[in-house]
Amino acid sequence: MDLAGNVLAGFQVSLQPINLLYAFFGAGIGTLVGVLPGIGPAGTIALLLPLSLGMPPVSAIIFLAGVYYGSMYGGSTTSILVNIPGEAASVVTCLDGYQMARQGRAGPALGMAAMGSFIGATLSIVGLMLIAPLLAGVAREFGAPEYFGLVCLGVMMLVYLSRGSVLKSLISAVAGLILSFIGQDLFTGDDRFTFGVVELKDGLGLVPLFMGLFGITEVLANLEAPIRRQVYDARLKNLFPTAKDWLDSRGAILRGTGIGFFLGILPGGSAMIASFAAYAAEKMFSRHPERFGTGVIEGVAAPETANNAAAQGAFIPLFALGIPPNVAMALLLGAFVLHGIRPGPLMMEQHPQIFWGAVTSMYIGNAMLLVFNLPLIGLWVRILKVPYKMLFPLILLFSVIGALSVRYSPFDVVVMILFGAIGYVLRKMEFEATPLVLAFILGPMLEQALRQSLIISHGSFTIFFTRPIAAVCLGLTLAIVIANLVPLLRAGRKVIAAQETGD
Amino acid sequence: MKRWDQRASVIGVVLGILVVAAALRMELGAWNSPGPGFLPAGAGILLVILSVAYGLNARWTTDPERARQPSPWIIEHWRRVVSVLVALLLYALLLDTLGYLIATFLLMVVLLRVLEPAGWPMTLLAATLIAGATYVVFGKWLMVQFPRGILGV
Repeated sequence: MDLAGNVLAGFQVSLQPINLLYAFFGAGIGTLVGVLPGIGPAGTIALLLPLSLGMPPVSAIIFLAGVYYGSMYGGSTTSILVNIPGEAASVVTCLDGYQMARQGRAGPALGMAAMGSFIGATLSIVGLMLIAPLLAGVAREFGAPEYFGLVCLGVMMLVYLSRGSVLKSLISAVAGLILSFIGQDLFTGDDRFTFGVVELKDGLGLVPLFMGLFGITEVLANLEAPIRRQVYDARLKNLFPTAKDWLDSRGAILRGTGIGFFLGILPGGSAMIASFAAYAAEKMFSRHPERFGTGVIEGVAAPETANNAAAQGAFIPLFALGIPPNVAMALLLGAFVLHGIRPGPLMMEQHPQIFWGAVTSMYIGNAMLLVFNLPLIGLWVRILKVPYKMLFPLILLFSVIGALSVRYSPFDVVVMILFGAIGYVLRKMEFEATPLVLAFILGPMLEQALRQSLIISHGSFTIFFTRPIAAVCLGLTLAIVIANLVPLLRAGRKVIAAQETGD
Repeated sequence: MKRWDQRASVIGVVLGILVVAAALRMELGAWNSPGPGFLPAGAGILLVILSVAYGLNARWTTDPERARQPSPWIIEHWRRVVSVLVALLLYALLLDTLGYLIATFLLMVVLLRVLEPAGWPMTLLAATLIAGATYVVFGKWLMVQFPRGILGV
């Protein structure tokens, strides 16, 4: 079928009243968690995942995807009005957004954030529709060695792009891989690391693990120093940016879309990184870089466009390859798997209505978000005033209910609490949880690909270097490892040399 | 912080060795037919190597700022954290016996008093409302199976 036919068929799915409703709720909940600091899209998707089990697969994906891209809109509201990022992807928006609010220009800042988001997202969806099927076509030829290479590269890119020490992120990733072994072996069905616990036979639950590491950990960290919110309480009027604002932001929006889209597709390139990169690029291109940070509208338009473009671009590797580039996509992969569908080239062929239905729903969802975030902005501002001491017990309770609702097992609740505590300790020690979670999700795929490859090649590792795609991926993976570890070794040698000379 | 990094690296090494030990008791298989213990053994070894590197790197750090950074464990901070974790654990353990409504009510009372508590009447009212509302929304509308407990509802 041609593109137009596919899009039409997609709209037939996404315009069904029930799917419209799910897109509406997804986008609404997304905006809500985007607005609220202290609860992010990853934790929320984990929370809602069990709920989506009762929906048809397309609706579940429409709903959960809506939460993800919806949160990109909401985050900017808090950044601009409170100077606290509602979402990691809106950190840079604080810089100029809050300054604009202080100068009485909160309205145009919010308006530009919402409209820039809309433009970035919709352009990015066009890219998604064009590129994902092409990529899936190429990926149809992929075998086990190619998938092994891709997964390695994906995890390594994420490790490399994570905040903080590469070494610590690598340790995180290996820990996630080890956790993914828990349960029955894929090939032989032998129990691994189950310690005789019946509940562990199916492996650690995705939902409790995620909600622990993202939901509970976030709450625990916020309890240390409760967020003090001073909502910038100027009456919001005139949400429409002026003609001059548009002229100033024109380049920022276009470049933001490009940067965001590209970084979104890249494994490990998150919406947050996209927003930082777009802001930096704007500062570079600007004729008055010194004015950034004092409340220039480009400083709002660039990151907000970029994070939405990235959020949509991130669906490409998920849909086309079945490899999630970030944690939120990893959760969507989990949702697919729980529905018995494996995203990737086969899904595009066998269940085209899922891909096209979900993609077209993103148009609809983004249009709804424009309404949520412009005329209804006052509603979110009011919600922002709910104090954290009331909010966090609710977040914890929803997490408990979410963990319970998967298979009604208090064991899952305990697992969630345990991982909440582990996540808190990891955060204190400055370990990133993201590589752990991505490695956990991709672990079974990695193991299957590795073992199959070795069976095909009769135990020879050359299979990974004679097949070009696998070789390129693994070569890049090794290059990243070496580029990061060599400086550490060199620093170590210097210290030893210094000690030997009695320095 | 430097000292804590070194301690964490020791934990990493120990965990890695435990993983390898557990993997060795599974079937390793051969290169041309890897068994269940194959990748766990590899991952365990990798964890040991990386943890050693992490520990040495922390020891050798020449970054004065990093070395001076205070310990991240401040008692005032984690007192609240531990009390919330304990409350949640108790909740998970008592949920079956007490039932959703009572257990949730008690959990909410505790949690609502962790940060700058409002007065008791307000706390009790809020806890009752939250327990009741979530019971209706999740238990009745969204059909999440909640334990009935001693109330039998």
